[in-house]
Amino acid sequence: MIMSRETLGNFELMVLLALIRLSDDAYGVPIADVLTRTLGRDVAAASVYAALERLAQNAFVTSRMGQSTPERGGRARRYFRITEAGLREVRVSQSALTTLWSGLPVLKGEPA
Amino acid sequence: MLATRWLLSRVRLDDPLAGDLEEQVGRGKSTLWLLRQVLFALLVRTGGLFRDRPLTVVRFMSLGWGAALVLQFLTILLARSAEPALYRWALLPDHLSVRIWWSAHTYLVVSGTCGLGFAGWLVARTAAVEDRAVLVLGLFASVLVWQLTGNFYWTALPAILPLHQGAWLALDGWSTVVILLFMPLSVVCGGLLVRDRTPSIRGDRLFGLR
Repeated sequence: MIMSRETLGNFELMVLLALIRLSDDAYGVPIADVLTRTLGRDVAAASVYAALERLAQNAFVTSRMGQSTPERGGRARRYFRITEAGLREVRVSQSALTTLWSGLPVLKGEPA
Repeated sequence: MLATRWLLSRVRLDDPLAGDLEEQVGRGKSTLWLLRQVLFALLVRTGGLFRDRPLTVVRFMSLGWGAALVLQFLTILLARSAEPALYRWALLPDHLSVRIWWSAHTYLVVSGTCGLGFAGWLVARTAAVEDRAVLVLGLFASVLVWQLTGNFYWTALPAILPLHQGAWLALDGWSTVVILLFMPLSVVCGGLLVRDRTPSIRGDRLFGLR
């Protein structure tokens, strides 16, 4: 029987990996910073939050509100944390991608 | 920083996102960076609105364009009564005088600008607060597209006509470029005039828009 299953998008996977790296300090700014450093280009904060919203809808992340601060115009931070379901999804993606990547000559600089 | 706070308060992004942007600006990010981020955030929200409530977008665009056309029509009716006086002022021995061009175009520019500014204000006044910026931006984009497609003929014409005729047509084309930028921006200006309070005119109740 063929079962359809939504897989993580590339950007969503990166966001989850950034969450794992940042652990309890994961809110929009450091998540975007990690992705910006990794990708070498500016990452829009709105796209990070859009990805987090989709991940939250699938119960791959949870969030909590932090304290508001004057430097944020009195607005609170929203901290995110990956769930067990999210971790399982990352492991599945890791396994799939590693399998697909392995042994490809073109990725080793050799001709296809 | 005041400009940042003003922009973020007008655009009404989600609080955590707006807080992040303000925090980044406080750490040294430029105004251009902020504008790019805000624009992208509005585009993301626009996509969401189109996906989740496409009829809302259609209804508010129709409301905006309808209001603009009605007000422009009324303004033109008023301006026509002043037309004889305008042409008496404009009539000079040289019939290619720029005065003719100004009198012929001024009331169109004024009426169009007033109509579009009113449309931006009306859409912002009647939309839900979280949708306001997106819908005004959508109206602005639709006006810009209309200006680009409708006025392309006039901006391209000076390039293909002989110079002695093209000279005054270039002037006409230049005014069209000004109108191209100015009139769509009047939509945004109208939207920005709406103060941040609970609207007394609720479009969703009045027109069944939501």
